[in-house]
Amino acid sequence: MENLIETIGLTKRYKKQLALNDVSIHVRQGEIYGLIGKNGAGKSTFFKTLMGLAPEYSGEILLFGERSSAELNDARQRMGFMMGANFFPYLTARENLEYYRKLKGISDASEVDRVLKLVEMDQVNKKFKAFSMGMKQRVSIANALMGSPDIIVLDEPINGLDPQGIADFRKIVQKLNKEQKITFLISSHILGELELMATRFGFIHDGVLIEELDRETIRNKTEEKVVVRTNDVEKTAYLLEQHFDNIDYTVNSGQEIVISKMTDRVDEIAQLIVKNELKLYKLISQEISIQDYYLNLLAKGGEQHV
Amino acid sequence: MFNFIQADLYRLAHKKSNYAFYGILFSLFVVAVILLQTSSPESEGISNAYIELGVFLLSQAFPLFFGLQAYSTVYINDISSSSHQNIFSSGLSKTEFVIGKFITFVIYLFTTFLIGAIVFFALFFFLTLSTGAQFDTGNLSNLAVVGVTIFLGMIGYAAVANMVSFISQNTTVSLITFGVLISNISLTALDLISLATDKLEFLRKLTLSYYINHTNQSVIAGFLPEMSSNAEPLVTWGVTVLYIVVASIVGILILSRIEIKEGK
Repeated sequence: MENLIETIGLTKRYKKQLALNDVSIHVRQGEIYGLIGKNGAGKSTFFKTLMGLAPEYSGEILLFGERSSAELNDARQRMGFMMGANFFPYLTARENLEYYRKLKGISDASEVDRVLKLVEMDQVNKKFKAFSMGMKQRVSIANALMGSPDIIVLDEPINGLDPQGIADFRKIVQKLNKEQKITFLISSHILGELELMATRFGFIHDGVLIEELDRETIRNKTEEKVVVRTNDVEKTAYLLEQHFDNIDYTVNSGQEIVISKMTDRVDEIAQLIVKNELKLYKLISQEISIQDYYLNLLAKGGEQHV
Repeated sequence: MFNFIQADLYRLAHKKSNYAFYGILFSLFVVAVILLQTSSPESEGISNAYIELGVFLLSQAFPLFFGLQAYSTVYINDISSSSHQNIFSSGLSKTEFVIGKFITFVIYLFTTFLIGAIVFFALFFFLTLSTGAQFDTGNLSNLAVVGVTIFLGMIGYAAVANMVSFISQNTTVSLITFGVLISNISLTALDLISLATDKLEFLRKLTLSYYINHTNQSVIAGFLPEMSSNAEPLVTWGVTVLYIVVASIVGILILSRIEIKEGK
C-alpha cells in the first residue's frame, strides 16, 4: 500500500531537549492512523514539523512521495490540517471559512456551506469570538475538511466536544474515509475514541515512535483471556479439557481458571459449567484495550524512553 | 499568492470596526474644519490655509492614527488570532506570504489615502463654494510630496517592524515596535544622545525617520514667510524603497527559520 505520509529519521531538537528522536512514520493511503501519546510526547511537534510550521529539523519528510521544500509546500495544498481552533474573532464561521476557501484556491463557493453543514454550524451567524470551545473546534474541523483533501491531519480534534459532538465527529471521519477514501492522521490522548476510529496506530513517547501497527496485529499480539471461578476448580478444568481442543489455561492463586483467547466462546463455557451442575461464581471475558496495550508498551519496550 | 491577497482583502472588507474607525475620524475632521471656518469667516487665503492644514495633519497625525490602525489590521490581526499556523500549513510559502502581505498593505493604505483625499477635496470644494474663495491649488504639489512620503514611510516602517514581529510573534511587542518607529521616538532618542556626544551622530542618518522628517519638515518650513523648501523628496523616497526591499528580504529569511507558535 502506498505511503502518503512518510518520515525517515525525523529529529527535532529545541536547544538541548530532543522533541522528536528519529521518528519514521508511515501513513498509508486509505487508513485512519491514530497517533497515540500522552501530553508532551511529541505529537504536536511532529504535526508542526510535518506541516512546515517548525523548520530546522533533521531527517526527511515525504508527502505523496515528494520531498523537496517546494514540492512539500505543493503537497500541503492537498492536505487538510487542524491544530487548535484559531480564527479571526471578528468574523463569523462562514466568513472565516470563506477566507480559507479563497486562500486554498477552492473555486466552488458552495464548499463552505457543505462543510459547515457537516459539522452542524450552518445555522450559526455569531462572530467567532462568541463561540463556545466546542463550536470553535467544529469550525476548525470544517476548515480541515474543506476542499475534500487527500489527507486530513487532526491534532486533538475532540478536545472540547460534547459526547454527541464526539460521536458525530467519529461518524464524519468514518464516512469520509469509507466513501471518499480520505486518509486521516489523528492524534489524541483520549485513547478510547481513537480505538473506535483508527485502523492503524502509532505509539509515541518522549519523542520516540515506539511502535506502529494495525488494528488486526494488535488484536493478534494482545492476550485476550477468560477468567472462570466455580465451586470445583478440578472438575471445571477437566470438563474444559474434554470439551475444547487445544485449550490453554492456567490456575491462578485465587483458584481461578485463566483461559487464553476464547473470548468469543464465553457462552459455551458458561453452558458447559451450568449443565454439569457446578456453581459459577465468576466468568469474565478480558479483551486488552489499546490503552492497556499502550501502557504495557511503555512498561516494557518503552521503558528505556521513560 | 494571489489567492492569499484575495483572501486577506476579503477579511479586511468584512472587518466592520474598520468602517467605524474611518467614519469617526473623517467625521471629526469634517466637523473640526467646519467649526474653524465658522469661527473665522474670512475667505481670503482660505485655500492656502486649508492645504497647509492638510499637509500638517498628513505628516503629523495621519501616520500615528491611520498607520497604527492599518498595521494592526493587516499584520497584527494574524498574530492575535494565531492564524499563521492555518495559513502556512495550507502550503503558502514564506516568500509568498511576505510579498502577499506587502501588496495587501499597499492596497489597504492606498484605499485609506484615496478615501482621505476624497473627503479632503470634497470639503475643500464645499469651503471654497460656501465662502466664495478661490479654488487655489498652488500648494497641492507640497501636499502630494508629503502624501507620497508618508505613504512610502508607513510601508517602510511596517517592513522594519515586521522583522521584530516575525521573531516575537507577539501582538504587544509588534504594535509597540511599529508605534516606536512611526512616532519617531527612536530618532528623538538619538537626537537627545547626540546633544551629549557626537559619536552616535551617524546612527541618526541610518534611520528612516531622519529622511522622512527632513522632507516633511522642509515642506512645512516652506510655508513660512521668506523660507524656502529643501525637501529632497527623491532621496527620501529612494532610501525608503531601499528600506522596504532590505527589510522584506530579511523578513523572509527570519520567517523561514522561526517556528510558528501554536495558538491557545
